[in-house]
Amino acid sequence: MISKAGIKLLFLLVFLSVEFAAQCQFYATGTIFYTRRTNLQKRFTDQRMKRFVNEDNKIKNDRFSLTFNDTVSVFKYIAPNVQEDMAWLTSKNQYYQYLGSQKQLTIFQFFGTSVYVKDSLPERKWKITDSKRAICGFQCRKAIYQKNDSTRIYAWYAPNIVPSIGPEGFCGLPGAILGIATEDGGIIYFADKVDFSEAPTQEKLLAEIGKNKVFNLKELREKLEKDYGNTPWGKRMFDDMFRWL
Amino acid sequence: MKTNRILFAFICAFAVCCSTSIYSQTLSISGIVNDSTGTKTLSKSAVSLIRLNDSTLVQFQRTDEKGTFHFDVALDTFIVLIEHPQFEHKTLYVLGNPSEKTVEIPFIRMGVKVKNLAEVVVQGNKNRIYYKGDTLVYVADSFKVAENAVVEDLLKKLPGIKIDENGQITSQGREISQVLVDGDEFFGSDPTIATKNLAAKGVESVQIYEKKAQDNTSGMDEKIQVMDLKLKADAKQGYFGKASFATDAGLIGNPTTNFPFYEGELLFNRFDNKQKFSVFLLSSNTPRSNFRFGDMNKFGLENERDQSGMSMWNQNGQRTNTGIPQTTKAGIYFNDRIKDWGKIGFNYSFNQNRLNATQSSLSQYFLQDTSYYTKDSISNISLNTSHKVNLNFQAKLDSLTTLEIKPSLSFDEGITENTTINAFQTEAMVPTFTSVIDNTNNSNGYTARLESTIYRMFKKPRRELELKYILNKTDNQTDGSLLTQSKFANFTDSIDQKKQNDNGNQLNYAIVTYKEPLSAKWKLQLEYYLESGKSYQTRNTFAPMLGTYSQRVDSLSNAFENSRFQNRGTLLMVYETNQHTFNVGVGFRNIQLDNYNAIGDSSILQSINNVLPRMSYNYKPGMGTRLNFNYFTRSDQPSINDIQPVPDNSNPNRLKIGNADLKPNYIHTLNFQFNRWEALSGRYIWSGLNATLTDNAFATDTYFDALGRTIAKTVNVDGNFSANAYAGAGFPLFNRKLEVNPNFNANYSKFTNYINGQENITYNPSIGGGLSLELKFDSLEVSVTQNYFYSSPKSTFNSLSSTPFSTQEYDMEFKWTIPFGFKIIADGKYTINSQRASGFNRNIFVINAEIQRAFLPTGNLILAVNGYDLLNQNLNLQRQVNGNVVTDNYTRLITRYFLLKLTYRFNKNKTKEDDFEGWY
Repeated sequence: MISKAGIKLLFLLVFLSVEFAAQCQFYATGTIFYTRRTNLQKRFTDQRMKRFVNEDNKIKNDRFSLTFNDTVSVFKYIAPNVQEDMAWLTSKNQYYQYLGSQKQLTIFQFFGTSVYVKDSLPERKWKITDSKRAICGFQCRKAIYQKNDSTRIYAWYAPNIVPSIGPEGFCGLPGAILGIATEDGGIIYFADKVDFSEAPTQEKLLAEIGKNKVFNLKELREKLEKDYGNTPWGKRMFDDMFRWL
Repeated sequence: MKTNRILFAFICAFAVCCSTSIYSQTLSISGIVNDSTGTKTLSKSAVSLIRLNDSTLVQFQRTDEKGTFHFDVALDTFIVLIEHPQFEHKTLYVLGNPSEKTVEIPFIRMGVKVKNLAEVVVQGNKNRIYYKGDTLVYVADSFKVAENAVVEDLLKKLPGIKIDENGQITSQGREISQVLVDGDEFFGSDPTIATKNLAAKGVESVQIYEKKAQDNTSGMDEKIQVMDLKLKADAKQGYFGKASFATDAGLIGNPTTNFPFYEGELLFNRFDNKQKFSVFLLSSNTPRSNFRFGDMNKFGLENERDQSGMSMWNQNGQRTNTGIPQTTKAGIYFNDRIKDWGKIGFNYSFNQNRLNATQSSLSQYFLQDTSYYTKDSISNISLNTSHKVNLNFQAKLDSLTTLEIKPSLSFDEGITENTTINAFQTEAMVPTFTSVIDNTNNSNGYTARLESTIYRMFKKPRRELELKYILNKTDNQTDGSLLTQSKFANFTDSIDQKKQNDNGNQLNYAIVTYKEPLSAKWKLQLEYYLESGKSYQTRNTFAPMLGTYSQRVDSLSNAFENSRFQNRGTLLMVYETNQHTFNVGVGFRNIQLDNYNAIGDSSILQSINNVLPRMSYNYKPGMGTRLNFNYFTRSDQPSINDIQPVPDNSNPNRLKIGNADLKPNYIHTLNFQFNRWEALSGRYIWSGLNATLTDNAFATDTYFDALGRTIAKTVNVDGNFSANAYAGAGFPLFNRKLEVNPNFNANYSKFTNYINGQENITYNPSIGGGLSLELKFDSLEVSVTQNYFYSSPKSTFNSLSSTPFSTQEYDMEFKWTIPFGFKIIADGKYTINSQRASGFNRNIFVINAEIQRAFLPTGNLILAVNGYDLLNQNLNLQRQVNGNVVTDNYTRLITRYFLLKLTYRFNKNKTKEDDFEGWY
């Protein structure tokens, strides 16, 4: 660049994208473990919630597993051994994705009640970028999902993990999603461990519905709107349940 | 996506044909992917088809065994991105052309992975842009922006910074991953909220630097570029407040105070990123004697809430229901943060309560084979004034240690004037004698308290240590006078005395708690409690002699001191999983007591050892279900009035005398609770059981003389028992428009006292239940509640004392929001009291109503007309059963009144200020 006036400062910055011993193989079955890090201060902007959340406890970590073969994947919460404060502040939904039939079964944890919803796989408009980062030894490419005017979600997918799956019901990219983040970093999921040593058994991929009613998304949304739409906290509840949709 | 930023080495050529077909809107793209040597086809390569103009992923595929892919898509211009883990990715461009229906790329050769090199050159004017270490700083004021510009407008002016249409920011061509405000993620969900809403004028400088990615859990030192907006000191300031005033302007007079009714309230809060400051004022002569719960929360009046003891469900402020009140409260709160390591808080509050209580009661006293009545009229006027100062200092000494120091000081002044008329009557209601008793007391006192806590965590998770020391000093001096006149059948008796009392204590407590994790699920908790201190009570009673009160009445004077020294150690084992918590432990304590009587110089020494077991179990299988079981034991000291051996003759017909031999009590407590809520259906149930068994309980041994006058002495009794069980549920119906809530409770108690030296056991079983219906529509809410309560107390001393009674209550609430900002709120309560003494079987119907209208675009100005107790029937009516005495009592309250009320809420941003209606 050519300078115009004033004192000229010249900086030469050299960026080296360091090559890691990256995974060079393809994988189609196994388990990916994620840690979700929630910044409670960003999630809850309400004055009252702010009294519970301080600098020391604002970060809440939860663990999840994504077990998959080439057609079915299960995303599940891993309950910790010890009790946690404020476990109720973050969602712990389960997702079963069926890539063959293009369906998704979601088991929402709705204030302690399991709510079963089966619908088609979510369709999201992804924008592909040239930004890359390594996650868990996999070279991942960043994609962006513009959820609405104010919310953008970043996803990093690994083309070497073949099934088009991801955490929290995210999917639809050419490879498994190893990282998800809201733009402000308020909620992020990152893979921290992978295990491709064995293919999951059929039982592990089987959803137990029992005698519970299975809604589709439209039915559930309508029911909740009817039941809770006129309460002041109903809006927040929707946002929580449908945060990722 | 910037096309020019894509590194590519190979561009696919495309054919342009002259023959066109306007109908061919479908494009077919296919190709074969080969490795970098060009000798081997690559299967499973990810091939993404990306629309060029908006970077949207349209389709993707994996190449098959032959390395081929094939897309059929609507005509457009595309990027084909091919990725394979062993090779550098490949980017191809396919330009859409209506004349070209198929694009075939028969040979795609992937590139060898390379290392990237990039070079960035930054130049700038030192005055406006400079480097501080690795940080690039833009001085905001040196870039001119329009008057109402936001941060985004400012950023667009900064050289080297670019913002695309999505708000994505790049600096020197490199993406900004995070926008911070003063080093912190200040705004809720989205950095564009900061850039689009913060005023550019509020920004002092814009800084660009690299930092370690926070969200990087993969353990690598990845760095991201962040933008930090440093705000000017005044940019994060704001204020909000509320002012309301209500009066009836004396139009509908107040017969009790001859003063117009009024309620005034002023609340104001000012904040910036470090400091918070609130002032408040409340003044009323209606039953409304405190702020709304939501306001106390919002304005941070923590200590006003604690001292009032009100529940969070009582949204409309505490109401005084014990007489005719007049209240003034005022104070300030101040909080400040000291850098990132400390906090300091200060608050002062002034409280003045005047209460004029007029009570009438009828008591029936049951003796062995007879009974008698007293009719009491009590007039009590009190004026209590207090000043309270609380300080709070918190400091993080290091990352694991916190220190907290909380001194507080309060001064209290009280004046009471009490006139009691006792009319004694036989069982046949024949008057025997009457006394008029006047008590006047002026008291002055203070309480000083210092609480310091050191809390320490350790490198080992879940290991914790807490040291707490509390010093409490209280002193209260009372000057009083007692004047009584008693008229018997053939003589009169009178008392004329002055009294000086000095009550106080000085207590020290030290508590050490240590928690040590033994394994992932087991934890050991040790607690040591040390208490040392004394309480004292000096009573001096004087009778008139030669015109002055100079003759000390020795039988009613004393100096008494109770010293104690207590050691208690508790060991607790905790088992904790994510669903179960189990606690079991035991405490050992020794307490040494010295009850010292200065007059006569006599001491009663006691040394008492107790074993204090405890146990609890908590089960939470899911978020909506809780089961708690808790058993614990404790031992409490009697109050100084219960041990002071000199009689209290403030009512000479009912003398009270303490007992210096009294032992501490021993209480077993058991609680059980079960709650369940199903969120989707909205059904819930709640249930529980509480029981206590008290040995060495403090009871009275009452002697009755022939005229029915009593002397009550405190004694220890064993086996006092009380229990209550309760349950309730909610069933929403018709899509939650209607909710049905049944509830049930049952109580049982057994208490021992002594009458003329004989044991009397009072059994009191009672039962209650009710049903409420709540209807909820968008603009209309109606609830109807019915409750029934039946009690049947019985005592062994006199079988005639069995006097069952019942209460029925019917409640209705109504809230209707109508257009043009109007709202109508009404509630009514009808109480039926049955089987009381004659004259106390009153049915009371209280109806309150309000109509209000909101003004201003924000609705922040509200004008309302309130009518309270429209039927003019309000009364506080109660029945008490105490040993062998059954008392029906009523207190006069403020009855019908009306208020015209204006409320204004405001804030800096001139937006709608919400009244919090609930905890959500």
